[in-house]
Amino acid sequence: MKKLDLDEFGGPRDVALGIGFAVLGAILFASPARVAGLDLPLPWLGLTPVFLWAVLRPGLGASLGAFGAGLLQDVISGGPIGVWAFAFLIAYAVTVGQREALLGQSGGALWIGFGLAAAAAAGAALVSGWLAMSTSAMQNGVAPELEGLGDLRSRGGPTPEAFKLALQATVTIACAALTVRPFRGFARIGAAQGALR
Amino acid sequence: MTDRRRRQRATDRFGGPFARAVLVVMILGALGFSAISYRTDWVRTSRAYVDDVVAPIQGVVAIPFAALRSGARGLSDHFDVHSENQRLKEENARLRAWYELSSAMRSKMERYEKLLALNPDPAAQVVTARVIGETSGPFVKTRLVNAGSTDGVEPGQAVLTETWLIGRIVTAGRSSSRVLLLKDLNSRVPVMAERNGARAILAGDNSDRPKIEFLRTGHGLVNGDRIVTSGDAGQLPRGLVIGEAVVDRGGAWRVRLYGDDAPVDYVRVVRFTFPSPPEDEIAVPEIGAAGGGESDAAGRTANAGGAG
Repeated sequence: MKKLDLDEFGGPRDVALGIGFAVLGAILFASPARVAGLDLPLPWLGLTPVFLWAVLRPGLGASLGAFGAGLLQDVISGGPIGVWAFAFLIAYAVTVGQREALLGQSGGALWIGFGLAAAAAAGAALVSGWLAMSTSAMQNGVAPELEGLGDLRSRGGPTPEAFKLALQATVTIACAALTVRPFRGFARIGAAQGALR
Repeated sequence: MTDRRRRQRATDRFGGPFARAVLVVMILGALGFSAISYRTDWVRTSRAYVDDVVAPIQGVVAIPFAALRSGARGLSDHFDVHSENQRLKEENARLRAWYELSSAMRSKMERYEKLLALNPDPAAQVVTARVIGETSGPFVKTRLVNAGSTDGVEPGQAVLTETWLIGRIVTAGRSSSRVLLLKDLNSRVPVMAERNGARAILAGDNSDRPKIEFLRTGHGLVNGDRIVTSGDAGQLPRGLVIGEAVVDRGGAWRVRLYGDDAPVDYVRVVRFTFPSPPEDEIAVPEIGAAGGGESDAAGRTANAGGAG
């Protein structure tokens, strides 16, 4: 197993880009995006480098990077610390699991792979967010009523958190069409096949 | 490929056993920490510092969103300008009658207050701040505003849109502070019905309409009653308007928040100095007359100095 083409990924330029996306993404995610009475779903730009590293250059550095990107999003967005760190790490682990299936692919398969990563992040954020909130509600001596988990029948009431996260994941996937470009991400994944054989 | 080799490759996927162990530790650590993060005091204090560092950038990033908002508002105004005009004319006629009534009431009230020698509430000062951030994560409803302790903002103070209460300050840095919205799961505010003074607690439950809890039996609340802060527990000033009472499908009382429909670009933080309890303060009755004072020190110490 040689890693010829793969070694090209992860140079100083890629690292700088990755950090840039993580920082920019965290700040964008914490912006007040309520327009015309609706909360615009904001993307998780930090997920793009996490995904690319998981496919092209997994390892200790990549997992630390995923943790850092998530932590940054936690700290800046003002929620409980650990929710997005957990989400990004799960997305990373899930993608690494798909790695061999993704290398050498192009187009549709990669979008499915990225979609899977985004879905994993959304699911993980729901779980850890719920955990954070139920423990803090218990501290208040009040049983948590997590209608956010999906009480769709009383509209005009809660925006279900699962729905909100699903929208954010969708926007994240849509934005990936632009965010993988500076990394030449998908092209590199496609070219990686030759290196593996 | 033999079974052993495949297994070996699978272990290598994460970059060796050490990297794999670190990954597992980080995943468990992140999950565990998210569970205790809200109980941890140093997280809250250090968050104020982080907010201060990020606030200038957030302020810039918030600008295009504000432009988008005002654009959307302009567009919708443009389309229903005629019906809106009609509606406003009617409302204006109605309000004029209210205006006459209220100015008559005010002079009457002033006369009564003088007759009764009633102590007026201490005057509140207001800091206007721009909203520069909002939590989009799951189950959290906070906003970041660009006013901090240098502007006199302190944890516990009430935050209003132009007129309606939307939350209160939870952390205050030097130049930024974080607002816990009424909808947040951790928000508890003592309230009352404006009409009959029925006391309750407004409890956020992550929905758009917080719950009215701990109502007494025989509270006499009716649909549409205005809910205001009660000023109990000495946290928020009395009488800030929150919204109106509605019954949800389950038969529980909730509040439709007026502040929800208001634009989110600017908020007002109310700096309200509570009369301190008598045991450590003798000069309490004079607070109202002083009207706050310009010094950044708490009103209590300013008054004590003035009395001595």
